[in-house]
Amino acid sequence: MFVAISGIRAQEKALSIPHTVYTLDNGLTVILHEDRTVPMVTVNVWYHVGSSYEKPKRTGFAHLFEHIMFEGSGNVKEGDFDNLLEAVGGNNNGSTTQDRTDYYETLPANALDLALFLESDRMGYLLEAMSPGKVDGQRDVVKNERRQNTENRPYGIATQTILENFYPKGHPYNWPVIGYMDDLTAASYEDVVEFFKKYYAPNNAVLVIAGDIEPTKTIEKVKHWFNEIPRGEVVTRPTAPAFELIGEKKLTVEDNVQLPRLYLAYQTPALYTPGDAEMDVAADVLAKGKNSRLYKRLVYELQIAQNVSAYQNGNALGGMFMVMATARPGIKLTQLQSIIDEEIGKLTITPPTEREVQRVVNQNESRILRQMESSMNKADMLQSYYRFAGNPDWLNEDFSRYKALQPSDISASARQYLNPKKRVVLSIVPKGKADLAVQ
Amino acid sequence: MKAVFAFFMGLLLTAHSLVAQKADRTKPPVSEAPRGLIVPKVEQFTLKNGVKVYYLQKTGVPHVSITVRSNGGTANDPEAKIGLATATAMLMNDGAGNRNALELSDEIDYLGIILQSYASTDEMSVGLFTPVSRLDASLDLMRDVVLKPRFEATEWQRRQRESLVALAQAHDEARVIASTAFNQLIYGKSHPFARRASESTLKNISIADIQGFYRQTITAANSSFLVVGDVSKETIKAKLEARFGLWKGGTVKKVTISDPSKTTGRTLYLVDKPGAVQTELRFGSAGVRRNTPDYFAITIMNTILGGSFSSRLNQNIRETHGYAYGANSGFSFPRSVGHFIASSAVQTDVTDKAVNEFMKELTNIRNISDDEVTRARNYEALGYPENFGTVNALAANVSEKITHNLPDNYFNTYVPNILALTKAQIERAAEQYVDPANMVVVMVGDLSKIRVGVEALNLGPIKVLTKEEVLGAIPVLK
Repeated sequence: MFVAISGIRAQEKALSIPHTVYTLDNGLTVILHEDRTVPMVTVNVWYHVGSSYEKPKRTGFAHLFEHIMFEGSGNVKEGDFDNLLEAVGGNNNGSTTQDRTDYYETLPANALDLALFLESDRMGYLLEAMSPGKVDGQRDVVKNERRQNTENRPYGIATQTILENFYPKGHPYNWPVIGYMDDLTAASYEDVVEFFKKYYAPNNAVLVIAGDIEPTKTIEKVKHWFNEIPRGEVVTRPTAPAFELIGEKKLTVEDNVQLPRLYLAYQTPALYTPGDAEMDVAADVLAKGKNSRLYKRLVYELQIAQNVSAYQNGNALGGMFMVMATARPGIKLTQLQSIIDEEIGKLTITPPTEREVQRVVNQNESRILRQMESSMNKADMLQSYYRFAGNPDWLNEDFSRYKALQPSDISASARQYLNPKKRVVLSIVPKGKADLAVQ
Repeated sequence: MKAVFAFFMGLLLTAHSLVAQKADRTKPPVSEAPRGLIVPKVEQFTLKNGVKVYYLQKTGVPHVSITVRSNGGTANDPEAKIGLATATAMLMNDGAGNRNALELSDEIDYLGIILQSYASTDEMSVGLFTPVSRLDASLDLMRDVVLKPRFEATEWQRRQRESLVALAQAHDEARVIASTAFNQLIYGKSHPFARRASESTLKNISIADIQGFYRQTITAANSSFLVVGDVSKETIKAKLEARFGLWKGGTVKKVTISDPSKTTGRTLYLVDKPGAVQTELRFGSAGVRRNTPDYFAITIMNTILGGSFSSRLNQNIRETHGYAYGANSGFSFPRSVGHFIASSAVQTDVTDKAVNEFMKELTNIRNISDDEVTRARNYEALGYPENFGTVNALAANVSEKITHNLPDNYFNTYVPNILALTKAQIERAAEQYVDPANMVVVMVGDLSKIRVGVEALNLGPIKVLTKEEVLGAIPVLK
């Protein structure tokens, strides 16, 4: 036996990603982090715009725009964004969520200037190279991305169905990030121009450079490439209308699947706000590992589910707690739901054991340790903390939230947020098997 | 000298920016000289019982990866008991020493470690990933999992039902159907890379079978360790001796995997998935061994064909035509001869057009440009250090080196080996290993919408397969 669990780190030093923050005259925030493990560097830009900023009838636009950002800019020919980066040994990609759009390049440190040239050129001069043809091209690609992940994937329609029914009309999280086909069809060249001018200015962006760099030299390089880009208008962030999920909304969708799957979605706090860490731990107590309560009951003991998962998804304007379970053949989803309700009910009344909570906290600490090895992950952490907690140096505070939790905090939050009378209940069932759905 | 020049250029540009002039964007900036990376040699030592340990230190973040690897895997499954190696790996996770399945899992989660057993075609492995501060406790657990698995019958009953349901679920996934059919057509249905467990083979596996497979396979003589991370050689040696020093016996297990026969002719195999909005496409043929002298040329040829974003297949199918979210290609390199494959999921109504474009690219790859050669060589060579940034990435690379018995200086000669390739060598690799006239083509989609168009391409004989012919009957589950 080993002694009562002390921290995973040898000395209990505060967790930190050492960095320097600068703000250029045009409002661009720059965060630099030095890690000399390998001679590589990650350049990561977050624009503070995502699907929640979209206009009505233009769902999916923030993500479509992300695609267009790779199609060349004033001084970069179409195709050259990738050609030039690959020619120096670099990789790149981007991603869009409800709250932000992210772009990164990972490349040998000696070629840092190239990434800065490319990022600054599309931040400053994208429209000089824009054309309706480019919009059309990426529109087709994005529609196929949607087909691949939504229409042609078993249970792929779940996310969209839940969002539409969970958030009221007019709430900026009411639609899927990938958007609807009709809106993707409607997106125009003019929309691209307007969106770029409004959201892709340096004052709405944060540039993180992490890796084999010398910070004082690097900030001069950044100024060289980015100083000339003019500041844009102040961006107003979307606000969410106050809403409370009332009642139990039951939905059934038939899909090309063998087994029925149940989704339960509850309204929870926003990312990094009080209650977010509690619900994160509650999710793992319920469904992570063989000893988690739902796995143990549904999969291990009763063997009526093939799998079960739960997670707290905190975003800027609110959170959603999701439980998902796939039924074994012959099992109705009502049966799964009643066991899930029973287990959640227990958690709301009796606090979990110290060990259950500590199990989750220890796994989180190991995960942070793993993330600390990669410059790309560290760049992403700095971005996320800066955007959602207002401080890039929030890692220690983030982890401290978990360490400070008492078991009674978990049950109190579960009681507050996991109310069976306020949730969306989605049953996805095999074609013609509506009787397997929650009635 | 180049490096020095680039350095002063940098200073000059900085001075300009101080007076707020615009950057020169007429040409992309020239990179400084690459900084290079020397990967330390993988060390080897043996425990007193003769078990070999491969070791590579990586400091920085205090954690360690330790893997026990044993020869033998799913390729050793008897025909009537397909699924045996996988069942053994599953059950090794389900209780060991004085802990039952739940207790073992609880301890692993409490320590915040990853400890998991796996079965691949030719190898069984138990992998541990742990913070250094938990090394002793987690090695104790690892010893139990490797040396004292409990193999309880009730756990196998659970896993068996779970596996049967997973067989049924595969019928939902067009991509699983496509890849399974492809492997069956390349290797033959009973080959280890193609065969699948079924209701009858799973029900045919007993706890005694699992124990027997374990006793033959997870033995001292048949196993080795791979250690990568923030621990000194002396420390890890002592810790392994203390826990595995008495492990003895067994013999080296043979794994024979036959090479696929050369793919001849071109046949199109269609599987119906009514209502599908995309068609899963697979094109390919039998490949080549990892130790071929052509390995580097094949790598670069594939980078140009479908191994990078700017590759021809992705540019054509995605960027030029918008037929799909992406298209790619690759070579598999098991210990035996693997395969070449090109794939995509394309919009249903342009399936015939997309297939036609694929055929063009698979033909045209025999002619490449100097620009493509330079870009692909640089892409693979200059970004190579990324493979050594994390313990996990290092462990994967060292593992590949051991599996294929690559030379000691492999990592440090990789870059010059890639950069030395000529256009002629790469074109020859295309000619030899990508042969569109002799290929298996698989399409899984809505045949009522795609069949006529595909037939009109006249690419070769068409055979229609049912999902059940590929995946087997859906298990009857109660």
